[in-house]
Amino acid sequence: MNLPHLKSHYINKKGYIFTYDIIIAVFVFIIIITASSFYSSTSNENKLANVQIKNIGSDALNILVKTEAMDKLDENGIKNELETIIPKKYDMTLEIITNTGEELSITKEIPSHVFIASGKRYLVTTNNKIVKVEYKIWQKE
Amino acid sequence: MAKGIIYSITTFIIGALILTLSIIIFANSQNTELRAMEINLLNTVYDLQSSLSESIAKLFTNTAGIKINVENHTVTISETIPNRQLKQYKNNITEFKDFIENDNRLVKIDNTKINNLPLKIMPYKISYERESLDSKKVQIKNNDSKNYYESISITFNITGMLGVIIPDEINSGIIPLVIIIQNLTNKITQTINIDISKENEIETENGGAIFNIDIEDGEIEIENEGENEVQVIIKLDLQDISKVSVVYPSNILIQFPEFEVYSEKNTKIV
Repeated sequence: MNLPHLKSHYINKKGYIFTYDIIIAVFVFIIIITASSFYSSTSNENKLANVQIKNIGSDALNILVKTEAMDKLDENGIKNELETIIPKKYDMTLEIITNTGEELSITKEIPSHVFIASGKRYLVTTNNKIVKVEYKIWQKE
Repeated sequence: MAKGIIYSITTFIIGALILTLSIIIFANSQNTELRAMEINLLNTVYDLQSSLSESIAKLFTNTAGIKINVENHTVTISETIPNRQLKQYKNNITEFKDFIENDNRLVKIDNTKINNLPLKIMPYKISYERESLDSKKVQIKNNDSKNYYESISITFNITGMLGVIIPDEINSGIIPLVIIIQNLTNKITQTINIDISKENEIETENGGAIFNIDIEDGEIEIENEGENEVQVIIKLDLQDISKVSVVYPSNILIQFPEFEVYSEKNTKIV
């Protein structure tokens, strides 16, 4: 038997296996790092953007309350005022209920597959009606 | 052989570094998600808290018949004694509490002190209160051993005869107490320097305002002993220690037990 030849043959094979192993390992790590970076960036971006959408809704409603646009509980008045306040790339709906049973809705068609932020505020009108306002806000597609 | 080991170790270290980096990025992402949720939750609590506080303050201003004005360090409280509007205010605030608590199980509004209606002048420990809502006597209590008054003025706005101001018992001191009785055309004023920690008693008689003003241990009691409803304006000039606000102790408690977030706040009127 030619042993030195066999030894040399295995050593050469080992080199190939080792190289392939490294290539696969590096490839796997690159996939892991790319996936985690992608997940990290998209996830953070969405979460923080969603907080921002909710803040815009809350601020818009706060302006409606502070400027007494809600005071008369006039649907058209509130709708017009809301359109001047809210940034063009967002849409918002309002559901208004008073302690005397009055109900108002400023509605728009809510698209599917978008993030919808919601919240509520209470207020008292000049003629002492207690009002609950619930809003939904989303970014236009 | 040595080359292979070095090569393996280097590869292992690089791999471990990449894996660690991935874990850090993932953990950071999870952390950001948690922070975003916390911000959202705190914003929700703030929105609820501020809207409830503003609503109670508006109900108070609209219906309690008590006007409060704060200018620098002077607090002016004006109301008709006895104040017939307070019963309506109590009904309104009770209805408000029921409406909110039925709508939102996370909110509790504590109105247990409504019958005394104590208004707290902050940061001083001064309270403006009464024994009951239909009481003809209001009390201004200084719940601190320190005196914060620079001067005190009590004005009675009446429609009939002015009458007289009679200082029954006076302990002289350094705090000016100004008593004014006025109608649309005339006015009488009397200024007495008193020691607020000792007993002082002043009466107004023979006119549209039959009042007894009793001052002792820093507490001022103003009682309508007549039958007329009289508008009384109490002006307290206070020492400059901090920004003044008037708080109504209608506690608003908001709780999100699953996130261990609790918020409790009084209603700021002014």
